[in-house]
Amino acid sequence: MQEEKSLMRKIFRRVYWENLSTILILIGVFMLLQPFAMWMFTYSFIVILVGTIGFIITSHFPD
Amino acid sequence: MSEKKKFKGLSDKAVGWLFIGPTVLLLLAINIYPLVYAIKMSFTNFYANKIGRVPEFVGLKNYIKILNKEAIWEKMQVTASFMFWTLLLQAIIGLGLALLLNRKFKGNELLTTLIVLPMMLSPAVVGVFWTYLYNPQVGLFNYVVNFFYDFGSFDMIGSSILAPWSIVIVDTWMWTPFTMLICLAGLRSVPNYLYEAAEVDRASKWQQFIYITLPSVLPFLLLALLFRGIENFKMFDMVVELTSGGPGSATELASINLKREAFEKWKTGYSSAFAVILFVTIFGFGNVYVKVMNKIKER
Repeated sequence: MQEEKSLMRKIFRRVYWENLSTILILIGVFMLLQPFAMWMFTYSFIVILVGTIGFIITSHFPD
Repeated sequence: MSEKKKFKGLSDKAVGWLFIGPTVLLLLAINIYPLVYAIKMSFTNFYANKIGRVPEFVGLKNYIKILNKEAIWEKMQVTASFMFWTLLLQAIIGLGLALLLNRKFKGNELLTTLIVLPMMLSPAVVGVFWTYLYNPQVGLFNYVVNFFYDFGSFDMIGSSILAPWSIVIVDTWMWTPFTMLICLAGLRSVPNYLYEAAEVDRASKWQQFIYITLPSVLPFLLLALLFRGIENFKMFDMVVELTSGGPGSATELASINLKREAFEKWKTGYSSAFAVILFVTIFGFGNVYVKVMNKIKER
């Protein structure tokens, strides 16, 4: 039980998931503002949304 | 004992709630409610000018329409170009000015005050007086440019090539002092003994700048740029006063387009969806901003 708990703590470490969410937000913003491909603009909002929601959730994970 | 209990006042928690209660209520009324209402509207085909017409639920149609529209993509590119050039110029000039003002010389305080002045002005006021400065007949800007090289009369705001630069110049003029102030705070936090140690090690001025000054000031500069990035992404008032998004749509930023869709074409549902997209982007950006700020605090 204790091992399982520590494994979960290792997997859900805030620093990794928060960084991943930040990267997603930045990729999404780039997709929204880039002048190269229309499809990137089309999917930009969903990427930003996932990143932002992810950030809100993961910022409550333990350190 | 029972007398004492009778006169027991409010608990600390209750007093706390009493103080923050009005603010929370006000925030709910003027921030949260309109936001929730706009999100709700974004899923409908609501037209604010068609009174009596019941809005229909259209699901994600507005979002799909916006994210597949090339015209909106173009507005985003105009916004991106505006952001890129303003942030680049503000970073270079702001850092340069901060380095200059970090030195001790006569009139340092006066110069700092003068440089900071544009930041204190209202964006609408700045927009109006720069319109006069850019005037091709009597504007001072034309006079100053022609003083160095005779281009003849040219219209900064009227030309579709020059107009985007005109808004970049004004934003840079207005907000470089902000970047400068943040960088100056960063520069003043660098301990002097680092430079003394570098001099003992015979490091050149350039090496001192690259290995001491720049790494110390970079987080502050990044913070200023992130803040300005968020502000410029939703830039509206100054550009509306200066060019109104014209000529054509050369300076039509995303926020100006949003206003046109909402209050000129009265597509309330559609523009609410557009507003939600911009809001989520800024909110995401804001999270990154807070994260960077926390990292700086930890240093």
